[in-house]
Amino acid sequence: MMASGRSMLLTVSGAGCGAHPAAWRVGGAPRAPSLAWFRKLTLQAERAGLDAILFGSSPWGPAVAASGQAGTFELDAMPLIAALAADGEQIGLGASVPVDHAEPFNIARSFAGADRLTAGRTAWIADVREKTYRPGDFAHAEARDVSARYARALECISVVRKLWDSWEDEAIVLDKPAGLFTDPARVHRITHRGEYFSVRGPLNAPRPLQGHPVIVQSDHSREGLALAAVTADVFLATVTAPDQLAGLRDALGARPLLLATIVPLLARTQAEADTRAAVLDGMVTGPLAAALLADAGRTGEAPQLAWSLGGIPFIGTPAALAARLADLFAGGLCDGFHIAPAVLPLDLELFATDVIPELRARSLRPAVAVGRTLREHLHLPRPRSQFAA
Amino acid sequence: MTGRQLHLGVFIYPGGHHIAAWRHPAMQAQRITELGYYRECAQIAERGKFDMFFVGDALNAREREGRVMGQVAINNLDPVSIVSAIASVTERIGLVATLSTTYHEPFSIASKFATLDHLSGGRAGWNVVTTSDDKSALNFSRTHAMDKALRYERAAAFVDVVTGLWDSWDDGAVVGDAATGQFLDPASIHAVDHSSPFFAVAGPAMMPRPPQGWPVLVQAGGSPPGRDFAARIGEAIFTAQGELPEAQAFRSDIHARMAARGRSANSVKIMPGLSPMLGDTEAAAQRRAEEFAELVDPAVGVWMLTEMTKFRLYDHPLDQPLPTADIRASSPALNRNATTLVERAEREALTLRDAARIMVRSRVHQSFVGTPEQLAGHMSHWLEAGGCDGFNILPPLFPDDLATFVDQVVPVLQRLGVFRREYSGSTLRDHLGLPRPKGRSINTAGL
Repeated sequence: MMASGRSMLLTVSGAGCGAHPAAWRVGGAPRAPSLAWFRKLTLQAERAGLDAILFGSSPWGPAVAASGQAGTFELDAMPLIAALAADGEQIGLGASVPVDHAEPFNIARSFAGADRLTAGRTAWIADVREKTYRPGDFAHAEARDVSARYARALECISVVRKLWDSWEDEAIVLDKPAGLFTDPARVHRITHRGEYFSVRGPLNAPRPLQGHPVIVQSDHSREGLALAAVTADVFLATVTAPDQLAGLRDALGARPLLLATIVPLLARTQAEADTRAAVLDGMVTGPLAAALLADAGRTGEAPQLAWSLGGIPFIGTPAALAARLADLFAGGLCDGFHIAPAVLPLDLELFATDVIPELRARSLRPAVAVGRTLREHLHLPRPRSQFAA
Repeated sequence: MTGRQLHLGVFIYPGGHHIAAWRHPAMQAQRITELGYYRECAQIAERGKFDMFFVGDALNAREREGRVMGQVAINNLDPVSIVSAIASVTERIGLVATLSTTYHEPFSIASKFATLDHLSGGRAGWNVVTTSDDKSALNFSRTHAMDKALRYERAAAFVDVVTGLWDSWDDGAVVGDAATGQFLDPASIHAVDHSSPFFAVAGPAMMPRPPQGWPVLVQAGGSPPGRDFAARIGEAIFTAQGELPEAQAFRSDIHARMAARGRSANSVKIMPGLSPMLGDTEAAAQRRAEEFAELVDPAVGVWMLTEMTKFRLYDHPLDQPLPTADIRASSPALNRNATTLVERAEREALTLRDAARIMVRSRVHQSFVGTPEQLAGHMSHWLEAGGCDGFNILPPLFPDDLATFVDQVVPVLQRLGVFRREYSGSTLRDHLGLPRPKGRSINTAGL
């Protein structure tokens, strides 16, 4: 336990080349998707003792994507986190898998496998937001209005949880003398019949090591908050000012852990940090600036907009960031932070090497990771199977 | 001038392909849900210079009359997760995962395999299957399996969308010019705009063209529509062939169907399944086979037969002939594997017990019991006689029987000059000798 009795939860974003749209021009990210790049980020996060690295979708809108200037690819995060299974032993691995158009059986099966192969380190970023997928790629599917999309998502997540529970923890008995691999009494059909899905089950995979992989959401719409209130374990807040966190907490209720997204750009001195920021600002011109403004439906200062898309920007020294995080955390408005480094890998490196020791010195982070599974890192209880006697 | 070369895959399975492998004293059965099990098997296969590591899929639990079948091991874990995890602990071996065109979305499958191809440096393959059983349908909000003809039509449209998405970024679409700020060349990225009775997909993809252009398309259909589909899209074909003459006929038939579509016979590698039960002497191999046979209750084999034929055999006497006429009468459209087994039972006058023994050993795939030298001779004979281009190896027990194959059979194949001593390329296409598909745009550089 921490001296204060409570540790600051910390996750990091491994998406894209960093949270700033011009990050690719200064950060040294590869020009083609590369496993070595993702392994490097993951190992940095693991060595710093962060709770998880999350591979969400990029924050850019369609105009920025079409401009060809933002420097991101959108890999499928599910094979990505599985490919990172052999790297690290404690770092949690989160993958965005959009809920729209997905079949609950496929989602449950993917995560059940990945959670076993990573020894209980997966998180499902269960997004309903339209920007996490493009409706035109699923134009053959039934069109649904907003309320139907969220109702379907709610049912989908509930079916996924039932499927994870369909094998009790003790279902695999491996009794060689008796010739019994599985105890049939501990595997259950779920016989779900709902408005959107009919799923008999059981799943054809043993229960995930964590019982349920951690479910992460980040949808700030009214419907999204209502969904998160009843289905999310973790909510990533992308507010631009800390005072907006209280309203989110009210909307979300007690269930999800609330992590505030911070976009740090770090340097040893404030002047150096300001210089780095000015270089990035200078790159937000021309087509990139126009695209950012078009996506936001705004006019005005595109460089400022580029900073605020991903969360609360912080431009300064590691010590100052540690102090700022400590203050925000002490205010009790959140359970920790989701760090979206402005430029990868540099701002992750500096966070790991210079901010983490400061947080440890304040007893806000453990010196060594406490648990093995992601649920243990986050102090989330391991759910019992709803079918267990 | 070297002659034709064998291509080898290893078909991973929980415990091994003998249904009772998990009960074998050498098997640490708790490992089969752990990364270490898959890593060890993949690394042994890579040591043996295998072309590919192959993972199957299933979309329903193994059940008998409404309850999970407790006497058999679980299905493989999610195949894409397995091969992705293996990508980072291997360097050369191809990584093939099975996913169904019946119950997935093309955009999602295109993204998964493109991602895997990027992360593995061009080693991905997709085993393109359709799902025919009603039990799986019940897990996907349907009451019955999709009609066969429709399933294959959907599969064909599905593959069109997927390959269209892979081609939607020209090679070289990533400019990455930090000085000008141009990361992508928008003119090199094209909409797919697929529209068919099954799908409407706008595209383009959200990542660059895969290193292989397309991940390798593997196919396993044996029925006439399956063969047509294989002839249309298959670049490697996994098939069950018990006897050389039928294997030769199958291969000729595929080649003929390909020729009718303007495809050359070189652009496909046909790889029948083969389960090796090896020993230093024939007698030792036979003893090993017996040792496995003792681990399994005949009822397990009867369950496998019932599942495959969809004909309930639980009350049929074990030592009576397999009721092939009743099986045929019960189902007008037996699937390819069931047909293979029924034909064999008729030919060899098998009892239910005989058929159950065959099933537990290697299902409908050929099982070879003998010495490593004999097996190498058998394999090279099939290659030279035009029965195959290689084999998908189904070891009875993992990792032991895979290691035996790698250490004792592979060197003989190398000595015979029918199998590589070293990898000569880095991608799965390189291993299989398959060309990299051209892109669809005039802007596309490359081959």
